[in-house]
Amino acid sequence: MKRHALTPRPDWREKAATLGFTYHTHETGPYWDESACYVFSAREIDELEAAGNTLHSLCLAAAQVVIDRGWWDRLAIPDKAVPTILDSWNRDDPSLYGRFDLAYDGATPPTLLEYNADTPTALIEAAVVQWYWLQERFPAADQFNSIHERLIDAWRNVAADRVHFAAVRDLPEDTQTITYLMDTCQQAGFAPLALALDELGWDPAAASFVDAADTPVHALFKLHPWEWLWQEPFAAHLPTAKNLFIEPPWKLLLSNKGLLPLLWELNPGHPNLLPAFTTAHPSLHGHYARKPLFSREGANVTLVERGVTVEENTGDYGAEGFIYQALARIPNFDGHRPVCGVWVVNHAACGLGLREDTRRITGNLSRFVPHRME
Amino acid sequence: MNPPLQSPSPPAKSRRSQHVALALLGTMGVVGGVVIWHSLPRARPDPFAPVEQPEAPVTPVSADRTYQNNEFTPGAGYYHAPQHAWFPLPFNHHDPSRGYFAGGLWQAAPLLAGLLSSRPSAPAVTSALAAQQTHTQAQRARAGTAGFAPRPAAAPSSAPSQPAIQRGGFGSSGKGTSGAGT
Repeated sequence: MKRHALTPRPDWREKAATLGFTYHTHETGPYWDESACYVFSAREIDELEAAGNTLHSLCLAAAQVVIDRGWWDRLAIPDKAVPTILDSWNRDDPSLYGRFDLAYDGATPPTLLEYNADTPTALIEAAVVQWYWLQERFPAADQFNSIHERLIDAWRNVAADRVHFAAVRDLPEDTQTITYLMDTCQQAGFAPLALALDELGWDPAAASFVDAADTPVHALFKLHPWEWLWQEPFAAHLPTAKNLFIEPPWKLLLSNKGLLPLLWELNPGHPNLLPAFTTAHPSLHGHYARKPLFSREGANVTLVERGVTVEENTGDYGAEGFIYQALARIPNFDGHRPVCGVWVVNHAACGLGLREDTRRITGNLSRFVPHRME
Repeated sequence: MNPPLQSPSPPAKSRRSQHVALALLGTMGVVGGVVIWHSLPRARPDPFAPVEQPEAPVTPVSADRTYQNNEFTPGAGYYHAPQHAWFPLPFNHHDPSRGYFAGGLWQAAPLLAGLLSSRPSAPAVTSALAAQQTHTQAQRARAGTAGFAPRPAAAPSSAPSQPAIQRGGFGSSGKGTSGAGT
């Protein structure tokens, strides 16, 4: 695993925008950063792919344990959500995608930082933009990235005659992500329909969610996390709604940092896991990352060394509690610290996207850096 | 004609997608995300909007107007900005058996729309106006004699009215402006 400096294409902004990647620049600078790329060997990619598949299996097994033992409170899952989660788990409602964030240095096994299993973004840049970047800059090179093809294939598992896609409006990353997923859905043979989340309706007579034109929703892809949905007024209708949800309700078991201590408890010493606990366990020796059970983009994460806070992000999360995870070995390339996002589509690892930062906590200002294989 | 964006396919054991074609996303796509999302406010029927008449005349195309890539004009079709002309299928429309449609030709790979908008060529306007005229005549012919019968007026009913559809019950939990993604 190496980091190579590159000269960015002079017209990269226009090319990115042409691909629908309109949010390529932060207020503080580029989000898409092609002034460098990461280079992996085939062995390293094999290791990341294997880690993604192994971790996904471990997560599913841990979810089954939560269900079997009724450990809902360990994941701060509200009682009202349990029957819906159980139903979707028992039906094996299809899961489209997720992204593991892994610490990896090319020398030691990849270790799990967290599983973004419900509403992962950074998808267009991983699936599309870095693919076109590779085509232009290194056409003979390879890349761990069959996300696009796997997404199209995955939609074919969805048993519905139409699929609605909903997100909060006016957030470019969310709306573009939805549009991209609609694109893959359409290429799988569906006629996707866009919907602003606040326009989703509930028809009491039909006991069905409906779209803005009052058409019943049969399958709903929602870019809105389950822990939020269960807090909102329409949560009352979720137990009786007949439609398919994508991601399914059972994904709340996986997109939950409360699963990290359970994974360690069930698989102690596993090479792809970091020790994790529900308290600042003595075995951590005062070195740990404190993470909220539910948070986004590194919000409310605190890094502690020798019992002293060395870095922290502010935010509005943490009401449901925190977990304490051993500090990961994140490599440092001249001050740049990458996190490997391994994409899982239809239960199989199939792609990689890297975000790097000069800070140790990956946050919403971290940069996306493309990769290639050698 | 723009060159294809894609270089020769990678080796068979490649770990990357063989093709990443876009049908909706961005200006390479058929519609574009911006268009999809800007259309949302119109998705809900406006009870005060005038009822559209099926025989409403189409607006004739004009050589003096700038058209967006993939803008649809009834009777003329989809405007392909790089070719300054209208075609029956959207720019980069994908047919698995034929490839990608752009500028009247089927390509092996999608093309980059080098122009996002342009003015039509004179021959294209002439052809499009003729097509629009044919379209209008056919529309008028259908209006009186064929097609679906209008829905009969509902009989008065004494049944209790159905409860109204509720909206706005999801989407209120966002924290900050960074969205729902992780």
